[in-house]
Parts: sequence; structure tokens; C-alpha cells
Amino acid sequence: MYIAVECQDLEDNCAYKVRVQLLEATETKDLVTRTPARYIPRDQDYVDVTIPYGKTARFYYPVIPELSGDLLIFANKTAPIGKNGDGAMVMNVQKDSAISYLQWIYAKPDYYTIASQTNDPI
Amino acid sequence: MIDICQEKLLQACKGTSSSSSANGATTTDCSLQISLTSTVEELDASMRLRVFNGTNKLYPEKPVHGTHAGKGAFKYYWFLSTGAMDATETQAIWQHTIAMGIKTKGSDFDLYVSVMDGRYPTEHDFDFSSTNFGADSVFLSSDDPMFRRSNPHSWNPAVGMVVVVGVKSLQEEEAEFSLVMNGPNVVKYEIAELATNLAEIYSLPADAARSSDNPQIKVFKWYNWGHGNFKTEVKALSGTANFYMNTISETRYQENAYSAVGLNAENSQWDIKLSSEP
Repeated sequence: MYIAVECQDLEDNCAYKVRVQLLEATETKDLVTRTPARYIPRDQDYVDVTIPYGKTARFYYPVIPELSGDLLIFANKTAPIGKNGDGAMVMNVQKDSAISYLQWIYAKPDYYTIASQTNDPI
Repeated sequence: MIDICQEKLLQACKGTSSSSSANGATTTDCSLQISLTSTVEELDASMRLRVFNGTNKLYPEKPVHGTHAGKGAFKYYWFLSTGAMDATETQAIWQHTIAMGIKTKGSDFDLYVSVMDGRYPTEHDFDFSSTNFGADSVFLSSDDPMFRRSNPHSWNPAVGMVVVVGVKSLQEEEAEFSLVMNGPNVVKYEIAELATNLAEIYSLPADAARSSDNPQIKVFKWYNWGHGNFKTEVKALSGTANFYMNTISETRYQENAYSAVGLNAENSQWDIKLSSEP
């Protein structure tokens, strides 16, 4: 989705507010408070993230296993030496990716299928 | 990093909704849910996350053939080196040779390689490169200063090392190349580089395990950069030895640095059996 805002009047200030709210897929249409997982792009692209201590960032990568072959999920540190905290990466396989992301089973430190952790100072 | 083989992924995705592709094959759709948690107090974790797809993965000893067009364009391959990860005190050495041969006469490609951080190498940003005319090769080894881990802040390949290989096309027209990788286990021969005009003498102690079926092989590499006439001399000072010589060049463009290593009379341009006995 793209939202374009065009200000045309040169004399007055052009101030505006844009907000997108997600509604739960329920009958009561409750407001969504959960931050959706971010998409990991394909090919040579990547996603950068900075995570404060104790917080978790979530991502997803749609896959067709018959076509994907062997996969490698790779996270490397990007801050200068000594300034970058370690990270723990856990992964779950969401069997049916066609369902609403609100029903996805996210990997948690105590619930995952595969885990990896860095303890290197770099 | 998380390394997932296709077989395990298929098992994990079993029971998901399926769809049919254009060729009639049934495929399954699932998604990988990845969570990254920062684990060090007082420090943010800044991370770059990417996924390498198995469609362009290199496997040891399995050559791939690729076609490529567009001057300056790159085609990329990758593999995960577990050499340093699997190293032990008794077997600490690991090696990878990434070798490329040219299949289309008159065409040329260059090799650029990045290690550790998963970036896609370019002609301006790479860790290793080979830009000869014709066949190219890159040699990664535990002896390389880049992997010696001489200080705690240097790269640590023992956590697993992603290697990204970029093949750069040097012509507009479509041309074909072959690419092969071996390692991380040390191959049966060690490769040493010979300097021009400097003779090298090697002595191997007697070894009861050595036989015609289990020979000890050492390979020497020499570059004829000036493409001039050259003379090579081999001599058995003690015992007997077989010598083989082979080349890769613009005219032998279908060989690569791996396949061109002559190890018998059949795949050598020149060979001789020498003995120190008169």
C-alpha cells in the first residue's frame, strides 16, 4: 500500500497526520497491538535491525521447499567492534503461510524448532 | 546462522496447503518464522538478516555450469564452510579451492569472493579475487592470515563461514562458464607456489604406508605472467618419483585450477618417471 500526500497551497502551512490502524480479524474488530513480523527480502537483498537488550524482532520468509533447496538464514553484526550486543536467533516453521499473520506461531526462546546464538565479540 | 536442508524443510512443511505449479508438480507453501533477541545488557544488537537460497548453492566436487551475459554483470553462488568449525587439534587444517573454467571460446569471466559477513562481492568490495584472462581460481585455507584469528577481534570462521562467490562477465554476449568448489577437507595433495628462477628441494622421509595405490603427492603452481618461453627442470635426487605437468591458459580455457591439476599420464600434457639410480 502506498499513501501519497500532496500539498498544493504555497501560502499556508501544510500540516497533516497519517495513521494506519490494523483491525483484528474478529467480529469485534479489536485494534491490533502486535507489531507484524518483517519480511526478509529475497535474492541479494537483506533487512537491517537494531534490537535493544531483552527485546525481540520478528521476521518471516515465505518458502516453497520443493523449489528452494537447502537454505541458510544468516545474521551478522553490523555495529562497530565492541559496540554490538550478541543475539539469539530461533526459528519455527509456519505450516500454512496463507493464514492471517495474527494466527502465525512465532518462535520464542522457549518454543522453537531450530536455534542459533552468537557469543562472539564481533 | 541456521542451516536447513531441503529434506528437513519438506518434512517440517508437510501437511500445509498445497498448490500446483505450471508443470503440474504439487508444491507446498509455508513460511519460516524467525525471532532475533538481543542478549547483552547495555548493548543494542545491530543485525543484518538475509536468507541464502539453495538454488545457487555450491556443493563440494559438484561442478555447476552457468551462462551469463552483460559486461560487468555478476552471477552469484554461495556455500557454507564448516572447515574451521569441524577442525580438531589433530586435524586443524582446512582448504577450499574455488575454480572456474571458461566454456565459450574467446570469452572471459572474473571471480570475486567474500567471506564471513555474507555480502555479495563486487569488483570494488571483495576479500579474495582472481582476474586472469581465462580460467580463474581462489584458494581459501586455514593458513591464510585472514582466518588465523590472531586477535580476539578478528573473524572467527569456527562459528561457520559463509562464502559468497561472484562471477563477473567481461563481455556483452552470452557465454558459458563452469564453477567447482572443493573442501573443506584437505585434498590428497598440498599446493605450493613456485617462484621463477628459484629451485626448490623437497625430501619426503620413508613411509611404509606409501605405495602406488597410496602415493604422496605434492603439487607446485607457477604463473607465466609474461607468456614467455620457459624451461622447467625436475630431478630425482633420491628414490623414484613420477612427474606430471599440465597447464591452464587462454588456449586451454576449458580447464580450471582444480581439474587442470595433472595427477596421472592421462590428464597431463607431459609426464616422466624419474629415478636417482643410474
